[in-house]
Amino acid sequence: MIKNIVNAKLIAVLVLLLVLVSGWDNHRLFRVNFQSSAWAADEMGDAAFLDDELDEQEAGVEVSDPLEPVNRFFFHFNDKLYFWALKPVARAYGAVLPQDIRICIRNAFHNLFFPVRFVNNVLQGKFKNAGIEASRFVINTTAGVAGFGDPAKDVFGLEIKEEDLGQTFGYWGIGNGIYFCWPVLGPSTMRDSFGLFGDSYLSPLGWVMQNDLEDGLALYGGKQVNNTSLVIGDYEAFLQSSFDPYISLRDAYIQYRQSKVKDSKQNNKIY
Amino acid sequence: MKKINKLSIASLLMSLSLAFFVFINTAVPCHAANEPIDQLHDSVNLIIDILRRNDPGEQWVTKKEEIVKIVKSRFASDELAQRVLALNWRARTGQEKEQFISLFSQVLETTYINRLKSYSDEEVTFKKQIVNNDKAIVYSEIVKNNQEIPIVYRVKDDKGQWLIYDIIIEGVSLVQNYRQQFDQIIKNEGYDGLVRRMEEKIQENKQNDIETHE
Repeated sequence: MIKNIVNAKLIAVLVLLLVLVSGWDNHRLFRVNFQSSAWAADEMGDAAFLDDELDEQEAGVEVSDPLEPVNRFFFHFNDKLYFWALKPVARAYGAVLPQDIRICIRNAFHNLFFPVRFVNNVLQGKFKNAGIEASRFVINTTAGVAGFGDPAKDVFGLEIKEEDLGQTFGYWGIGNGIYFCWPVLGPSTMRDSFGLFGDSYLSPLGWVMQNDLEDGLALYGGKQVNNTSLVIGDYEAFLQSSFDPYISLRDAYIQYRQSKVKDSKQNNKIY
Repeated sequence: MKKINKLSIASLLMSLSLAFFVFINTAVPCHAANEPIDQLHDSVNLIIDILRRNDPGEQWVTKKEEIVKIVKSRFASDELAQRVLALNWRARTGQEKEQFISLFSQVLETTYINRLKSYSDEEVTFKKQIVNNDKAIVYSEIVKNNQEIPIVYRVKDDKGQWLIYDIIIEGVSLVQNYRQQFDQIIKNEGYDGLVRRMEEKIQENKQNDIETHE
């Protein structure tokens, strides 16, 4: 009990710190408010939306990367980790287990992270989406046999409402902060790293790790191997298509997260 | 704990290859379409037909040539190149611009087109379009390994033909991604360095192509 309170305090302090370090992105916050009121009054015209899209394209999204030399080091570390360890293991694993089963295992892991999605939907005030996630969890855990199947989507048409704490922070108007490339975990930003840390208190994987680090790491490894086995060749293709894989990955990560945060805001407008 | 790692990002980028060429074939008869969404759909149906064609003895090279022709007619390669170079575009001479357009389309062609060989009836659907004067955005989606990947095309009107000038996979713009890389290369190695790197890339891709054929 006391431990939980301490943890809650720790999280509160860290969030505060994050807000101070990253700075509230007031400008964006204002724009969102303006837009949502526009939506509330009347649906924004397609043309206006398109202009917005095109403007965004011109502006682009960039991230400050003062730690680039260190990040590059860990990028290469992760690269080697993939080619020397993850890929051979995932390959052997994929040769033993048929793809359908591996997709089911991926589903089951995804199902376990339900608390993260649920809480973050709530934190963003998306109660309808939180309800959809809760229904998904109940249906898939029972009818989907511990989450191995996804009848919630296949039968009931309930789509995943992916949210995490990093997105929630973004939704609240907190900027990316600086870019990190963590060993093993890969690309992230200051905001998303805090998010990951916070989410770990909501994730079953985090709970296992707190109780028994070894079990937790084994579970994490299992998840990575399983999910990697489904995307072997993608990283190689990515390397082939890029001139500077480090920058390409950094930009892809930032753009991807940006679009997720933007989706979050648009979803809010609709519901 | 849900996070996106290096590999899932890579998978998004990889889908570019599919984005270029693969859509669901709904067996709609070809018609002279003016809507961007229909034009993209038609081009893609043609490509799918070529990919599915199973003539005995037909080489991949023959198919590839046909596909390249269709793809080229659907891309605004000058607009694409200009957006990739962005601020560096203005500093280029006319000749340099021509050269860059040609090199960059070769980079894309040699990088992505051979990946089509592994096309295996992935399902692609067109969702909707938003048109604003001479620009439009077309939304589509591809299902790969049971996961939907959103693909968005930015197109512009060129005498009745809607030509692609950017592709956005899961929110990642192809143009911006190359722009970030090229900016850095020009900063560190100058524009000549970039040209050299592009030439090397094209050679490297062609070499890989030959090796995988053998």
